[in-house]
Amino acid sequence: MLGLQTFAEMSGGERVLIALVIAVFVLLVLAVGFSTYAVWLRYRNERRAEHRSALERLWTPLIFGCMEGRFPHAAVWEQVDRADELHFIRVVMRYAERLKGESLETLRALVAPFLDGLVDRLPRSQMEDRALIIQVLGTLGIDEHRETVLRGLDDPSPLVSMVAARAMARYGGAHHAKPVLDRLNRYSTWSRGYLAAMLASMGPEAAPMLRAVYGDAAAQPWIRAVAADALRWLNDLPALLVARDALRDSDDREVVAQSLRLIARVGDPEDVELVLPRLRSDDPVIRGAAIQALGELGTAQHGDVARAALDDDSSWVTFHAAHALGALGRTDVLGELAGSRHPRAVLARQVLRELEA
Amino acid sequence: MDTAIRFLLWFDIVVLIYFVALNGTYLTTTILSFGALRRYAGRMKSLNVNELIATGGAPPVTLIVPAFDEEETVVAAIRALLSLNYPQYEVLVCNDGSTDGTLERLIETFHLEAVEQEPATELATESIRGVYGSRRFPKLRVLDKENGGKADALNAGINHTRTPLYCALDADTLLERDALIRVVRPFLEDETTVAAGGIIRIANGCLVEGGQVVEVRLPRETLPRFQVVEYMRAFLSGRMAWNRFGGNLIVSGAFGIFRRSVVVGIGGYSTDTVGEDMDLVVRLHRHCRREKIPYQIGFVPDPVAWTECPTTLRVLGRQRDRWQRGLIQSLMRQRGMLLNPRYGAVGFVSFPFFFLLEMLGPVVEMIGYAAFILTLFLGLYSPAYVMGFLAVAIALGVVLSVAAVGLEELTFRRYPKASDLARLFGLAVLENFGYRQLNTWWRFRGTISALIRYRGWGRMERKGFDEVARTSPGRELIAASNTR
Repeated sequence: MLGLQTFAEMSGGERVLIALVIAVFVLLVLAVGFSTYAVWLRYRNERRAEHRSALERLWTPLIFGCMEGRFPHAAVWEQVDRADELHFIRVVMRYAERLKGESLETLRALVAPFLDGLVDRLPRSQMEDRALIIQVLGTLGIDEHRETVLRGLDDPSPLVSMVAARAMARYGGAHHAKPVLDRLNRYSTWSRGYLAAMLASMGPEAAPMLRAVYGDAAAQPWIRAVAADALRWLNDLPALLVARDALRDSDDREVVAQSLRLIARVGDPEDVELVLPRLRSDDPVIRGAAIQALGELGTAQHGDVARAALDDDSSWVTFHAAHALGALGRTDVLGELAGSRHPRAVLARQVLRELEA
Repeated sequence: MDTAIRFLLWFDIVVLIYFVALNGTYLTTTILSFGALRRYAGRMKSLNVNELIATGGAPPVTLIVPAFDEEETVVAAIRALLSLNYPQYEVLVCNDGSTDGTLERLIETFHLEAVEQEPATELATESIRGVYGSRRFPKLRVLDKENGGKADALNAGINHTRTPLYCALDADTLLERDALIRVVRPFLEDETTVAAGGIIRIANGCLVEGGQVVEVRLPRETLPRFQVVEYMRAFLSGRMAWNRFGGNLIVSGAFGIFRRSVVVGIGGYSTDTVGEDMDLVVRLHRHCRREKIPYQIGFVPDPVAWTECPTTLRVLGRQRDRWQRGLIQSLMRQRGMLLNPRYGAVGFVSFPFFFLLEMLGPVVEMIGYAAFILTLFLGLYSPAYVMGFLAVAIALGVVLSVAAVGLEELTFRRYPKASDLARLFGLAVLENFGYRQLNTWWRFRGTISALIRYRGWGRMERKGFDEVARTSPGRELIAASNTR
C-alpha cells in the first residue's frame, strides 16, 4: 500500500523510469531463464546421450549375436533395465526397418516382452507418442498387436492413422489391405503417388481388393485412380479387364488417365482401339496418357497418329508423342523432323539422341 | 520552436509504439515457436525418412542450381548434390553467362557433351547458348545461357524441367544427404503443398569433406558467428511460428522446393527484382488465395542446407542492403494484400507485419536514434530515461537471441561442444552492442536505395570450400576430391 501510494505520488517521468527498470529486470530474468533452460537441456541431453551410447555399445553385439544364433534372447533381456526399455526398442527398430525374413523375426522376438508396456501407454499418450508406439508395434509386433495397430487406423489424429496404414501396408501383408482401403478417404490430402506406392507395397496378394475398389463405379474417383496406380505398380494383368471397363464407362480425368497408364503397362495390342479415341480428348493430361499408351501398345502403322500428336498445343503431349514414335520404331519420322524447321525439330533430335544412348 | 519540440516528443512516442509492436511480435513468434518445435520434434520420432523412400512414391525432383562465376565451389557442390539420398532426381546447373571458368570446369570434370533438349515451358529468358549432358553422370545436365540474373537463370531451369517438383538452390549450398527427402515430406503429406523451405545454416568454420559437412563448428571470425545466431533467430523463432497458420512469406532462395506447374502458372520468377525468392512466395500466396486454390506453403526445420556467409563488413552490408531492397520490392508490388480480407491470415497478420514493421522498421529505428539524441541534447528527456529505454531495447534483443539458442538446444543441437553453447550465449548478448545497429543501418541504406530504384546484386567474394578445408589440418581436402 505504501509502495502504491508512493507510486501514485510520483511524477509521470518517474513512473516511466520505474516501469523501464522493472521491464529491464523482467527481461533479464527471462534471458537468464532461457539460458538456464538451454544449459539444463544440454546437460540432460549429453548425459542421456552418453548413457544411451553406453547401452548401445553393450546391446549391439548381443543383438547381432542373437541374430546369428550365438546367444539366447535372455542374454539380451538381462541387460535391459525397465527404464531403458523404450530406448532398447528404438535401437532394435533401427535394424528391423532394414531387415526381412528370419532376421526380422529374431528381432521381433527380442522386443516382444516389452511391447505390452507400450500398448498400456497408448491411451494416455500425446499424438506424436501414439504415432511412435503404433509404428513400433507395426514394425516389431504386427502379429501379436494387430488389433492395436488396426485401431490406430481410426485414431482421431491423421498422423497416427497414416502411420498405422503404413505399418499395415509394409508389415501386415495383403490381408490388411481391406481395412486400409476402407479408410483411404482419411488420406485424401496425401500424395496420390505415395498412397499408390504404399498400397502396392502390400504385394500381389492385395491385387484382388485393389481391383474391387478400382472397379467400383460408386467409389470416389481419386480412390479408384489410386487403386489403378497401385495395380500398375504391381503389373497386375487381371486389372486389364477393369481398366477396359473404366475406359469405356468413366469420364473422370484421374480414372481415365490412370486406366490408360495401366493399359499401357499390362495391355494387349487390341487395346489400342480403346486408346485411340482418348487422343481426341479436350484434356491434355488424358491425351498425354493416351499417346504414351499408344507408344507401348501400338505398331509402326500407328506412326501417323503419333506424328499428328506432335502438333498438339501441349508440350507434354508432344513430348510423349516424340517418345511414342521412338517406341513404335518410327525413327524415320523423327529423323525427317530432326532435319526440318518443324517446331518440334529439337525434340525429335533429343529423342533420337536418347534412343542412340 | 514549440511546435518542433512537440513534434519531436510525439515522434518519440511513435518510435516507442513501433518498438513495442515490433519486438512484441518477435517475442510472440518466439514463444509460439517453442510449442511448435517441441511438437515437431515429437512428430519426427514417428517419421522414418528411409522408410519414406523405401515405400516409394516420392515424386521426381529437379535441383535447379543457378551459377554465375562459381568456378571455385561449383564442382564440389555439384559432386555433393549428385550423391543425395533420394530415389529420383536430377541436377540442372544453369550457367548464367559466367565470365570465369565455371562452365569449363563442369564440362571437364563431369565429361559433359552438347545435347539437344526441348523446353517444356516458355517462360521468357535470355537466350540459351547450349544444353549439356553426361553419359557418365546421367543425373546431371548443364544449361548455358546469356547472363540475365538469378531469377532469369531459374526461369530457364524451370523451362527445361519436366519433374513435378523443382528445388532452387544456390551454387554454394551444401545439402545434407537426406535434406531432399525431408523437405519433400510436406508434398507427400498434403497434395495442396505448393512450396516448402528448409533451414539454412552457416558453413563457415565447419569441416567439409566431399561436399558434406562432417563436423559442425562455430566460425572462427566474429562476424560469421553473429550471423549464426541471427539465422537461428530467423528460422527457428521466426519461420516456425509463421508456419503455424500458413503465413510464411519467405522460402529461402538458397534452399526451397516448389511445385513446378504452379510457379509456371504465375509466370515464374520476376526478373526485375533483387528479392526474387520472396517475390515468388508472396505472389504464390496472392494467386492461390485470389483464385481460391487450396494451398500450403511450409517451412520444414530439419532438412539442412549449409552455406557460406559473408566474412567482411563490406560484403555483409551489400547483402543486407540487397535483402532489404528485395523485401521492399516484393511487398510494394503486392501491397493490395495489406489488410485485405480476401487474403485471410496472410493479409491480416503476416503481410502487415512484414510491410509495416520489417519494411519500415529500419527507417523508424534510424530516425528514432536521431530523434532520441536530439531530445537528449535539447534536455527534453533526462539521460536516465534514455538510458532506461536503451537498456530495455538491449535486454529485449538479448532475450530474443538467447531464446533462439534455447530453441536450437531443444531440437537440433547442431553445435556439440559445450564451449560453443557458451559462445552462442555470449554472441546473443554482444550482437546487441553494435552488430544489430549495423544491420539496421544497412537495411536503412537498402530502403533509401529502393526509393531511388537502384538495382544491383553486389558481388559475393567467395572464399570457397577449398579454403575452409585447407584450414582443417589432417583431413581430406576438397581440392583433392575435385581432381578425382
